[in-house]
Amino acid sequence: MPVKLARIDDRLIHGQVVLGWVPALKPDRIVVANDRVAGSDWERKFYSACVPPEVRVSFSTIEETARQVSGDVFKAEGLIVLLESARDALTLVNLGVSIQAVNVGGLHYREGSVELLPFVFLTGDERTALRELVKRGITLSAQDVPSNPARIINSLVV
Amino acid sequence: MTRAATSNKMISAIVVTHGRLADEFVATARKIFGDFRGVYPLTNEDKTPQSLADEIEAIIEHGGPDETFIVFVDFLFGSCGHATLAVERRYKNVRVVSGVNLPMILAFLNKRNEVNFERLPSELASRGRDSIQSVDTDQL
Repeated sequence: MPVKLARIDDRLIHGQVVLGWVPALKPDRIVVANDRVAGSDWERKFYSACVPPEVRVSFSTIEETARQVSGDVFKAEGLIVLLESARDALTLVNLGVSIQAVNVGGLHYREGSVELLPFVFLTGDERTALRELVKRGITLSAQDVPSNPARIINSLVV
Repeated sequence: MTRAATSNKMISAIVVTHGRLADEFVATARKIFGDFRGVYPLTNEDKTPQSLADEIEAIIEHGGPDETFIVFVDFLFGSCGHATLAVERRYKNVRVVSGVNLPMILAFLNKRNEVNFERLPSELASRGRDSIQSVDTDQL
């Protein structure tokens, strides 16, 4: 179950993922790890329609994702795992999923958030969650699309 | 008390796009059509799907009691589409038309006082499709 990319992006599946990361990484499956979407019929249909037919897509709660990715549910599949928030990413890691790097692909302005990069705005809680990921030895790589350079932001969140 | 003004049901439009497309669609339509009201451009730039949905919703909530809304979106299966559909699900007076292009905006301005709200979305989609052609001048 190689995780080719674990990405934090508040838009989940959208153009940058489908037109940027999918062609670059050629995953077998996109896993949307999100408690709300897992329970929302229309959102599952919507996001499924975003994905090219050669890529499988599944929707799981964070807990289910942890079981599936740590177990052998997706064995032999290259995965893109999409997370809506830094908090969700930390929960996934805390549930035992081993990830070396997290791609920070898009966290946009919300009330109380502070700009770190043009596509990364952090609330205090998100900064804390990212800091926890750094403490677990994870590399945080801010990169919206594969054709733009990645920027390691570990030192900016501690 | 006369209700003449409100018996004319107003159909407004919200144009939701990536980047500055929405602003430019509306500004360009104004150059061609002349001035008009009730067309609101919104960009997804720097916004979460939730904050974009909130902005769409704020425009609808500010509408009059009989006001209906066509929400044009540039690309359905992306963040603009997600925000738009999330709002559409909550309002009976909202319809979504995707793949917006300039002929569709102009058709909206031309037809919004003639065609009723139920029929207008499919007419606009049809107008947009008709405007997309592979053109060979020998076969015009």
